[in-house]
Amino acid sequence: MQPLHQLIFWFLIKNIIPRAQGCNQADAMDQCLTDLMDRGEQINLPAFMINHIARIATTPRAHDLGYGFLLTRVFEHFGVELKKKVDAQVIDEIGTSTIMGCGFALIKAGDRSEDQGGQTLSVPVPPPTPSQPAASMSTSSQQELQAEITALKGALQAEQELNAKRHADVLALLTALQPKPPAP
Amino acid sequence: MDKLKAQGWFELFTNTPLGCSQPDVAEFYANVSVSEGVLTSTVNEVLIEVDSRALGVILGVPATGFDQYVQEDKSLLGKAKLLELAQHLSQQPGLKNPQAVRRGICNRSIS
Repeated sequence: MQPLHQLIFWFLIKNIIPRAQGCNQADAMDQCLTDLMDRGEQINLPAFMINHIARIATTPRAHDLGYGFLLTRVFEHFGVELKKKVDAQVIDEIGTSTIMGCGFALIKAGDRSEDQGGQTLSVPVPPPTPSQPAASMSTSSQQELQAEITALKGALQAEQELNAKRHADVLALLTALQPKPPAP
Repeated sequence: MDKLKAQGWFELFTNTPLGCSQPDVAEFYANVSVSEGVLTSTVNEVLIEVDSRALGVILGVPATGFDQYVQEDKSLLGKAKLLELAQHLSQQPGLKNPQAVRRGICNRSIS
Protein backbone atom coordinates (compact mmCIF):
# COMPACT_ATOMS: atom_id res chain seq x y z
CA MET A 1 0.00 0.00 0.00
CA GLN A 2 1.05 3.55 -0.57
CA PRO A 3 1.65 5.59 2.60
CA LEU A 4 -1.53 7.63 2.25
CA HIS A 5 -3.61 4.48 1.76
CA GLN A 6 -2.02 2.97 4.85
CA LEU A 7 -2.89 6.09 6.83
CA ILE A 8 -6.50 5.99 5.62
CA PHE A 9 -6.70 2.24 6.33
CA TRP A 10 -5.37 2.83 9.84
CA PHE A 11 -7.99 5.54 10.43
CA LEU A 12 -10.76 3.27 9.14
CA ILE A 13 -9.96 0.32 11.36
CA LYS A 14 -9.63 2.54 14.40
CA ASN A 15 -12.78 4.60 13.85
CA ILE A 16 -15.15 3.42 11.14
CA ILE A 17 -15.02 -0.38 11.39
CA PRO A 18 -13.04 -0.79 14.63
CA ARG A 19 -11.43 -4.12 15.40
CA ALA A 20 -8.75 -5.64 17.54
CA GLN A 21 -7.43 -8.16 15.01
CA GLY A 22 -6.49 -8.10 11.37
CA CYS A 23 -5.11 -4.59 11.63
CA ASN A 24 -2.30 -5.23 9.16
CA GLN A 25 -4.46 -6.70 6.44
CA ALA A 26 -7.09 -4.92 4.38
CA ASP A 27 -9.95 -7.19 3.35
CA ALA A 28 -12.45 -6.42 0.61
CA MET A 29 -14.51 -4.10 2.79
CA ASP A 30 -11.42 -2.22 3.96
CA GLN A 31 -10.17 -1.84 0.40
CA CYS A 32 -13.51 -0.45 -0.71
CA LEU A 33 -13.64 2.11 2.09
CA THR A 34 -9.99 3.08 1.68
CA ASP A 35 -10.54 3.73 -1.99
CA LEU A 36 -13.75 5.69 -1.40
CA MET A 37 -12.14 7.87 1.24
CA ASP A 38 -9.07 8.43 -0.93
CA ARG A 39 -11.26 9.56 -3.81
CA GLY A 40 -13.46 11.70 -1.55
CA GLU A 41 -16.63 9.72 -2.23
CA GLN A 42 -19.14 9.80 0.58
CA ILE A 43 -19.27 6.90 3.05
CA ASN A 44 -22.43 6.52 5.11
CA LEU A 45 -20.81 6.44 8.55
CA PRO A 46 -24.08 6.16 10.56
CA ALA A 47 -25.20 3.15 8.48
CA PHE A 48 -21.79 1.49 8.90
CA MET A 49 -21.88 2.14 12.63
CA ILE A 50 -25.28 0.50 13.05
CA ASN A 51 -24.30 -2.52 10.97
CA HIS A 52 -20.96 -2.92 12.70
CA ILE A 53 -22.48 -2.54 16.17
CA ALA A 54 -24.93 -5.30 15.25
CA ARG A 55 -22.03 -7.48 14.21
CA ILE A 56 -20.05 -6.74 17.38
CA ALA A 57 -23.08 -7.58 19.50
CA THR A 58 -23.80 -10.87 17.75
CA THR A 59 -20.40 -12.30 16.86
CA PRO A 60 -19.42 -15.38 18.88
CA ARG A 61 -15.81 -14.22 18.86
CA ALA A 62 -14.32 -11.76 21.32
CA HIS A 63 -14.56 -8.26 19.91
CA ASP A 64 -13.62 -4.81 21.13
CA LEU A 65 -16.55 -2.56 22.02
CA GLY A 66 -16.03 0.08 19.38
CA TYR A 67 -17.26 3.65 18.89
CA GLY A 68 -16.83 4.59 22.56
CA PHE A 69 -16.34 8.30 21.88
CA LEU A 70 -19.07 8.48 19.27
CA LEU A 71 -21.51 6.69 21.55
CA THR A 72 -20.83 9.32 24.21
CA ARG A 73 -22.42 11.87 21.91
CA VAL A 74 -25.42 9.57 21.42
CA PHE A 75 -25.73 9.03 25.16
CA GLU A 76 -25.60 12.75 25.81
CA HIS A 77 -28.24 13.36 23.13
CA PHE A 78 -30.61 10.95 24.88
CA GLY A 79 -29.85 12.42 28.31
CA VAL A 80 -28.03 9.36 29.66
CA GLU A 81 -26.15 10.20 32.84
CA LEU A 82 -22.67 8.81 32.28
CA LYS A 83 -21.17 6.75 35.08
CA LYS A 84 -17.45 7.21 34.55
CA LYS A 85 -16.43 9.51 31.76
CA VAL A 86 -12.78 9.47 30.80
CA ASP A 87 -11.46 12.20 28.52
CA ALA A 88 -9.79 11.27 25.29
CA GLN A 89 -6.03 11.08 25.22
CA VAL A 90 -4.84 14.03 23.19
CA ILE A 91 -1.66 13.46 21.22
CA ASP A 92 -1.37 16.47 18.99
CA GLU A 93 1.76 15.48 17.19
CA ILE A 94 3.08 13.13 14.55
CA GLY A 95 5.62 10.77 16.04
CA THR A 96 7.64 7.77 14.90
CA SER A 97 4.64 5.47 15.37
CA THR A 98 2.65 7.58 12.90
CA ILE A 99 5.44 7.45 10.35
CA MET A 100 5.88 3.69 10.82
CA GLY A 101 2.11 3.30 10.54
CA CYS A 102 2.43 4.78 7.06
CA GLY A 103 4.87 2.06 6.09
CA PHE A 104 8.16 3.90 6.49
CA ALA A 105 11.16 2.17 8.02
CA LEU A 106 13.03 4.40 10.42
CA ILE A 107 16.81 4.43 10.51
CA LYS A 108 19.10 6.34 12.79
CA ALA A 109 20.68 9.46 11.39
CA GLY A 110 24.07 8.69 9.85
CA ASP A 111 23.42 4.92 9.76
CA ARG A 112 22.64 4.09 6.16
CA SER A 113 24.84 1.03 5.87
CA GLU A 114 21.93 -1.42 6.02
CA ASP A 115 19.50 -1.71 3.15
CA GLN A 116 16.04 -1.15 4.60
CA GLY A 117 14.32 -2.44 1.46
CA GLY A 118 11.82 0.37 1.32
CA GLN A 119 11.16 4.02 1.95
CA THR A 120 13.19 5.39 4.80
CA LEU A 121 13.25 8.50 6.89
CA SER A 122 16.06 9.65 9.13
CA VAL A 123 15.41 10.50 12.75
CA PRO A 124 17.87 12.19 15.04
CA VAL A 125 19.39 10.06 17.75
CA PRO A 126 18.75 11.60 21.17
CA PRO A 127 21.81 12.21 23.33
CA PRO A 128 22.38 9.92 26.30
CA THR A 129 20.28 10.82 29.33
CA PRO A 130 22.41 12.61 31.92
CA SER A 131 22.73 10.96 35.28
CA GLN A 132 20.55 12.15 38.13
CA PRO A 133 21.95 15.13 40.09
CA ALA A 134 23.37 14.33 43.49
CA ALA A 135 21.30 15.21 46.54
CA SER A 136 24.06 17.36 47.92
CA MET A 137 24.21 19.62 44.89
CA SER A 138 25.45 23.12 45.56
CA THR A 139 23.19 26.16 45.27
CA SER A 140 25.01 27.44 42.19
CA SER A 141 24.54 24.10 40.46
CA GLN A 142 20.88 24.18 41.31
CA GLN A 143 20.59 27.66 39.85
CA GLU A 144 22.33 26.53 36.68
CA LEU A 145 19.94 23.62 36.42
CA GLN A 146 16.99 25.90 37.02
CA ALA A 147 18.14 28.15 34.19
CA GLU A 148 18.59 25.10 31.99
CA ILE A 149 15.08 23.91 32.82
CA THR A 150 13.68 27.33 31.94
CA ALA A 151 15.51 27.25 28.63
CA LEU A 152 14.26 23.74 27.94
CA LYS A 153 10.69 24.77 28.69
CA GLY A 154 11.04 27.56 26.17
CA ALA A 155 12.41 25.16 23.59
CA LEU A 156 9.61 22.69 24.33
CA GLN A 157 6.99 25.37 23.80
CA ALA A 158 8.58 26.35 20.52
CA GLU A 159 8.66 22.70 19.47
CA GLN A 160 4.99 22.27 20.31
CA GLU A 161 4.14 25.31 18.24
CA LEU A 162 5.97 23.75 15.32
CA ASN A 163 3.98 20.51 15.60
CA ALA A 164 0.88 21.95 13.97
CA LYS A 165 2.96 23.00 10.99
CA ARG A 166 4.65 19.59 10.89
CA HIS A 167 1.26 17.92 10.69
CA ALA A 168 0.49 19.76 7.50
CA ASP A 169 3.99 19.25 6.11
CA VAL A 170 4.04 15.49 6.68
CA LEU A 171 0.57 15.00 5.26
CA ALA A 172 1.56 17.07 2.23
CA LEU A 173 4.67 14.91 1.86
CA LEU A 174 2.66 11.69 2.04
CA THR A 175 0.27 13.01 -0.55
CA ALA A 176 3.12 14.05 -2.81
CA LEU A 177 4.64 10.56 -2.58
CA GLN A 178 1.64 9.06 -4.28
CA PRO A 179 2.39 8.28 -7.91
CA LYS A 180 0.31 10.35 -10.26
CA PRO A 181 -1.92 8.40 -12.68
CA PRO A 182 -0.58 8.31 -16.21
CA ALA A 183 -2.07 10.78 -18.62
CA PRO A 184 -4.73 9.21 -20.86
CA MET B 1 -7.51 16.34 7.21
CA ASP B 2 -8.82 17.05 3.73
CA LYS B 3 -10.15 13.50 3.50
CA LEU B 4 -12.04 13.95 6.78
CA LYS B 5 -13.43 17.28 5.65
CA ALA B 6 -14.55 15.76 2.35
CA GLN B 7 -16.56 13.17 4.29
CA GLY B 8 -18.00 15.77 6.68
CA TRP B 9 -16.30 13.99 9.60
CA PHE B 10 -13.71 16.57 10.56
CA GLU B 11 -15.59 18.12 13.48
CA LEU B 12 -16.67 14.75 14.84
CA PHE B 13 -13.21 13.17 14.89
CA THR B 14 -11.37 16.24 16.12
CA ASN B 15 -13.70 16.87 19.05
CA THR B 16 -11.21 15.50 21.58
CA PRO B 17 -13.02 16.65 24.77
CA LEU B 18 -15.83 14.18 23.97
CA GLY B 19 -14.50 11.47 26.28
CA CYS B 20 -15.83 7.96 26.87
CA SER B 21 -17.53 6.02 29.66
CA GLN B 22 -16.61 2.34 29.37
CA PRO B 23 -19.28 1.01 31.81
CA ASP B 24 -22.00 2.74 29.84
CA VAL B 25 -20.58 1.52 26.52
CA ALA B 26 -20.53 -2.04 27.90
CA GLU B 27 -24.14 -1.72 29.06
CA PHE B 28 -25.10 -0.33 25.65
CA TYR B 29 -23.60 -3.37 23.88
CA ALA B 30 -25.13 -5.79 26.39
CA ASN B 31 -28.62 -4.49 25.60
CA VAL B 32 -28.27 -3.60 21.92
CA SER B 33 -30.31 -5.06 19.10
CA VAL B 34 -30.66 -4.05 15.46
CA SER B 35 -33.75 -4.73 13.43
CA GLU B 36 -34.43 -3.43 9.92
CA GLY B 37 -31.79 -0.76 10.28
CA VAL B 38 -33.04 0.52 13.63
CA LEU B 39 -30.69 0.26 16.57
CA THR B 40 -32.24 -0.13 20.01
CA SER B 41 -30.56 -0.31 23.40
CA THR B 42 -30.93 0.79 26.99
CA VAL B 43 -28.31 2.57 29.08
CA ASN B 44 -28.97 3.62 32.67
CA GLU B 45 -32.65 2.87 32.09
CA VAL B 46 -32.77 5.32 29.17
CA LEU B 47 -34.11 3.90 25.91
CA ILE B 48 -31.97 4.63 22.85
CA GLU B 49 -33.53 4.07 19.46
CA VAL B 50 -32.00 5.42 16.27
CA ASP B 51 -31.78 4.68 12.59
CA SER B 52 -28.94 5.84 10.38
CA ARG B 53 -30.62 9.14 9.53
CA ALA B 54 -31.18 10.05 13.20
CA LEU B 55 -27.68 8.89 14.10
CA GLY B 56 -26.27 11.14 11.40
CA VAL B 57 -28.12 14.12 12.87
CA ILE B 58 -26.86 13.32 16.38
CA LEU B 59 -23.26 12.91 15.25
CA GLY B 60 -23.43 15.82 12.84
CA VAL B 61 -22.30 13.76 9.83
CA PRO B 62 -23.98 12.90 6.51
CA ALA B 63 -26.13 9.76 6.47
CA THR B 64 -25.74 9.37 2.74
CA GLY B 65 -23.32 7.61 0.42
CA PHE B 66 -21.80 4.15 0.31
CA ASP B 67 -23.48 1.88 2.88
CA GLN B 68 -22.85 -1.62 1.53
CA TYR B 69 -21.64 -3.29 4.71
CA VAL B 70 -20.57 -6.82 3.86
CA GLN B 71 -19.39 -9.55 6.18
CA GLU B 72 -18.58 -12.93 4.65
CA ASP B 73 -20.12 -12.64 1.19
CA LYS B 74 -17.59 -10.43 -0.58
CA SER B 75 -19.21 -11.14 -3.94
CA LEU B 76 -21.74 -8.40 -3.16
CA LEU B 77 -19.01 -5.92 -3.99
CA GLY B 78 -18.35 -7.50 -7.39
CA LYS B 79 -15.28 -9.53 -8.34
CA ALA B 80 -14.15 -7.10 -11.03
CA LYS B 81 -14.34 -4.18 -8.63
CA LEU B 82 -12.47 -6.10 -5.93
CA LEU B 83 -9.73 -7.08 -8.38
CA GLU B 84 -9.35 -3.47 -9.47
CA LEU B 85 -9.10 -2.35 -5.84
CA ALA B 86 -6.54 -5.02 -4.94
CA GLN B 87 -4.42 -4.13 -7.97
CA HIS B 88 -4.59 -0.44 -7.14
CA LEU B 89 -3.96 -0.64 -3.40
CA SER B 90 -1.30 -3.34 -3.56
CA GLN B 91 0.41 -1.58 -6.50
CA GLN B 92 0.48 -4.91 -8.32
CA PRO B 93 -1.36 -4.40 -11.63
CA GLY B 94 -0.64 -7.98 -12.67
CA LEU B 95 -2.86 -9.56 -10.00
CA LYS B 96 -5.31 -12.09 -11.43
CA ASN B 97 -7.62 -12.48 -8.44
CA PRO B 98 -8.92 -10.21 -5.67
CA GLN B 99 -6.72 -10.46 -2.62
CA ALA B 100 -6.43 -9.11 0.89
CA VAL B 101 -3.78 -6.43 0.89
CA ARG B 102 -1.03 -6.26 3.46
CA ARG B 103 1.32 -3.36 3.85
CA GLY B 104 3.14 -3.46 0.55
CA ILE B 105 2.19 -6.95 -0.58
CA CYS B 106 -0.80 -9.18 -1.22
CA ASN B 107 -0.78 -12.43 0.68
CA ARG B 108 -4.00 -14.39 0.33
CA SER B 109 -7.08 -14.68 -1.82
CA ILE B 110 -10.43 -13.27 -0.77
CA SER B 111 -12.98 -16.09 -0.70
